[in-house]
Amino acid sequence: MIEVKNIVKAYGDKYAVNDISFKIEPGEIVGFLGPNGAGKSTTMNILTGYLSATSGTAYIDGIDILEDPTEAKKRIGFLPEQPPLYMDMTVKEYLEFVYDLKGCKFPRKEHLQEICQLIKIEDVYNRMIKNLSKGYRQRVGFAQALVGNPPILILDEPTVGLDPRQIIEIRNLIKKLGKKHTVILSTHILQEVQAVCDRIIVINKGQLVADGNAEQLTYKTAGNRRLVARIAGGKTEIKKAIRAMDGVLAADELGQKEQGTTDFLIECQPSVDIRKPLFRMLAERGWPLMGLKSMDMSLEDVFVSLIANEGGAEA
Amino acid sequence: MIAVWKRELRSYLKSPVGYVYLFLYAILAGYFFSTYNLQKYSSEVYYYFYVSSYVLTLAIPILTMKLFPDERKNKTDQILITAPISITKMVMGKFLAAYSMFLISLIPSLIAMGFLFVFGNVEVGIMLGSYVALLLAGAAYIAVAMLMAAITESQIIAFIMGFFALLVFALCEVLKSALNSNIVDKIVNVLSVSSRFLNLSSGLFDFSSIFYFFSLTVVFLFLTIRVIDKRRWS
Repeated sequence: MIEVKNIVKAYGDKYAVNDISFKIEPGEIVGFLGPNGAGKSTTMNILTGYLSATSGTAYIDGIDILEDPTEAKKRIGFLPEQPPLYMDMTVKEYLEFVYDLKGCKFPRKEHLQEICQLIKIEDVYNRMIKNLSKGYRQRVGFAQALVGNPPILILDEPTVGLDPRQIIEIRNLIKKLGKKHTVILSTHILQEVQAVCDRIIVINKGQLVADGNAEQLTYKTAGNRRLVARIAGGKTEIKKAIRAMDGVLAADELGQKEQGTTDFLIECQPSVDIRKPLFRMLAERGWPLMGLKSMDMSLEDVFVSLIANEGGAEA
Repeated sequence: MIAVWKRELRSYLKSPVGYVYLFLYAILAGYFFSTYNLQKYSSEVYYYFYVSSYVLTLAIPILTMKLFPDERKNKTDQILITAPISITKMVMGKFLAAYSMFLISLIPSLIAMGFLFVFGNVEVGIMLGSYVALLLAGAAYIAVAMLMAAITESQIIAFIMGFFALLVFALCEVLKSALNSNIVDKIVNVLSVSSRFLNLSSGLFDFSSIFYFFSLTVVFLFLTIRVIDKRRWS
């Protein structure tokens, strides 16, 4: 559906995007994740034809965006970082303008009505855009991207500046849209990709540093697995028994947090899932397992370590 | 293209800019009509149109100054450039909107000419020739001023640059007599709007003058398109 090959965007000797390649299949919801200034917006602007790449190519449905931009752009709905709204128009006038601009063919009134219902902007339909709140403006920007029912939606930081309730609404909306559209969204908020996306592409300093779903990313960067287990019984014996298990690299006491139990920090090789054998071993020996918590890296840790690996996040 | 034209025209009619332009042009053209024709009991339309062409150097930049700087400031150029229409069509839509406003501004002149037609003794050839000259010069002026708007991000600078660019075209004839040099003469002959305007408005069907205005329009529209497109690459 979307194929990006070795895209480079240089401003003088500074690279905004440096050799990024990826492929996106139909129906995926992909999140571009990266700190501010990482090159997310630039990549999106190249995909939508707003900017031209210094080198490299982007294909939308097999169409080269440089060779046949009009045909490629027909397939894309784009919500830029700042919604491109004309303040001197009403929502109705604006959406009708977008409809004409995109040269849509289906019945206009029904189509726009459908979008307004979906985005929930019916109640401001006849109001001037300059009088709308930020949340509504964002939604009108969203509506604009949906006009013409493009199979691909590219959303640049769709939730920036919204209040928490609006953010949840927009996220739910994106999930809903993801059933019919291929969605690419960019964000620097981790919870957002976690909440919405099937796949995460991490970009830092103009380069692609990771590509996969949340688990894959965690696995890739996590290193050794760590667990905290709360076990009732004699702590020295338990420690010895755990250390003797296959794949366990270390087991240390963390102290007593509950009467008659001890917390242990267990570290094991990344390829080993110690939880089942640990449970069986403890059961056989008659040591009740009171609690077990994975200390795997959160996506946040992953993100930070990915960015740090590439030379540190921007301040 | 039609979508862009409609939007721009609507925006002109909703904003003060459109009315400032219409008002300025109506007042100035009306003033010259009153001094040259009414007060002198003259049906000579030649002056009216000739002076009109100079009024346009001030009025046209008002019309064009917001066309591109506003879009860039509000980032609305993103929707235009990422929409499935070519930059050529986008620029043409804007050009036609400005030209439509220009046509609207000529309505008062129709009233004035109608007045002379009924109560005076007008030379129809000169009047028609003058209208042709004005219509062609208007298009060329809009194209020139549009380029000035396309290369800057500020409305005020777009206005000032547009005004001076048009002054060069309109007034360069003066340099000829002032400097009396061969090279200057040649350059002025290439640039000068006023000599062509006079040719046409004297009622001559002067093909080279028509071609001059037409090519001036096309060249500057082309440059505007190139400037907008170039920005995507830099």
